[in-house]
Amino acid sequence: MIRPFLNPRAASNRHWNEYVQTMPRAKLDQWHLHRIQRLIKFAYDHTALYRRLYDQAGIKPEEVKTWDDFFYKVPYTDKPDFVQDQQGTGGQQGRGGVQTRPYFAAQALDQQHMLYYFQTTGTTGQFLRECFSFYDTIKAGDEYCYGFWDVGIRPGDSFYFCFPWGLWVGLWHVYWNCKSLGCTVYSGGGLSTEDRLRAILELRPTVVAGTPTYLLHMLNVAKTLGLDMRQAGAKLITGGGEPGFNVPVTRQALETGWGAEVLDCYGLSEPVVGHQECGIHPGGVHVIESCFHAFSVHPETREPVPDGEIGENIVTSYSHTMQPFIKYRTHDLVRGIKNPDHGCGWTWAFLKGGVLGRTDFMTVIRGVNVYPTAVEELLGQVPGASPYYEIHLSRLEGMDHLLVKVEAREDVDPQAYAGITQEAEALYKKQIGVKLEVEVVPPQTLPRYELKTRRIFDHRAQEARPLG
Amino acid sequence: MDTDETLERLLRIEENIRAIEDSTPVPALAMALKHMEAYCHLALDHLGYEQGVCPEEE
Repeated sequence: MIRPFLNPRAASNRHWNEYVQTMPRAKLDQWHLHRIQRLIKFAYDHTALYRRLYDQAGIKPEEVKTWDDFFYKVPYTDKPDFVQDQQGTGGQQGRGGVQTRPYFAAQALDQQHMLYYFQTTGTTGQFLRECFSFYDTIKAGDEYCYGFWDVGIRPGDSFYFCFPWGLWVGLWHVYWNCKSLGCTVYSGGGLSTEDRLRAILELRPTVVAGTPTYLLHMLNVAKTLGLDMRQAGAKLITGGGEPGFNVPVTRQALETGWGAEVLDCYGLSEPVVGHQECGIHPGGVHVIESCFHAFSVHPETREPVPDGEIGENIVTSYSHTMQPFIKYRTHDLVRGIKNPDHGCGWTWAFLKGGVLGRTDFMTVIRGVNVYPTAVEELLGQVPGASPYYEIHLSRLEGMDHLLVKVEAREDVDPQAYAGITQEAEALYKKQIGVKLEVEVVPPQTLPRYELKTRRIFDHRAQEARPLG
Repeated sequence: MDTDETLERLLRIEENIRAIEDSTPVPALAMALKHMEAYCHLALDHLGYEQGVCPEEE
């Protein structure tokens, strides 16, 4: 006799885990504080990075007793801290002093606990090596189950993965959750877009997972091939890696083209945390509070912002113990609401509108993170380009666009402007990995400022503009 | 711990896993226990214990 896959009471439960999803706020916060206290001690005892950070701040783990201690005394962490630690003098030495294994920032468990290796994309030129333990993948593999279960995904359903199974952890994260749910995994790895489209039409997966850019691209390719992807019968489109699912015009295009509802997942690679929409689709994402803690601060003063106001999202992950991320600056601007009431029944905090902007104006162009600082630095390498430039961020048809306007140097012949444009565009393509629009203008075209020069113009929606 | 005691403990673990898995109304728990059941079946296999071909078989 074959046992049922899931007992009927569990299969018919509305929530993935009602106990944690509907936990009262006071009890949630108490649980968080205890978990953060244990994590701080774990990180201090087992990583050089946190020992150094906390010793420099003059704080010991046992002194973190209250939320005020955590908010005001525990130091923040940021990507440069981890990159610097990664570049440190660590590493394992083999025979003859040859370094045999790479050094991982804030590595708390030794190499034998490492199950997976990933790395960030390194758009700024400094990528972060990521290592995950077996438990990390199990815990992270629980994170998105809440939202998937909420929209009716059950064992027996299937996910088609539209990604190459490379070094970006994002859709691996969704894959781990697919396994936890008991859903079938259809791999789209190593296939062309056309092959993936035809496979989806044949296999009829319940869920199609990818980045918003790529899923839109698939629809464009389908159109040229005369394929109607609504015929695949998918119920859900999901994934992440960039804003898009929560952008109305992009979401509508995906829903119409695929004939499926969209479920947004806002995840972060390094701490492997994931925020997710619930089945009510209330225009934002929940903090999955069984897997991480999040709060918002003013990006300059670092003061916790009142509930409902825009601030920088700061996260502490319970899902990445091999490399602890505690009070980690995401540089994402969000509007957090601690006690949402839109009818889903979850008591977990809600980020209205998802990611509203960046503290450092980073944008995503065709799936590639582009930092204005990187754009600025590279411009200095373009012969004929002057120091006077502007970066214009806009949103067209639901996707971010970046235009670099730069004045030519005074001694440059106007006939050379086209050559400067081509050289700049080629440099960005080579160094950043994506083509950016460049417009070369005559000297003195751009405004001059008496005090602080304004270089970055964010023409996207008002709420998406960063503070300050 | 000798093999006999290991086997005895694993069989008790399997029994407890199945009891929770089959009765809990919490899908997150049921699926977590299902994964545990698979590893328990593997562990028993490592001991040469004769059992169903897979954890799904009663």
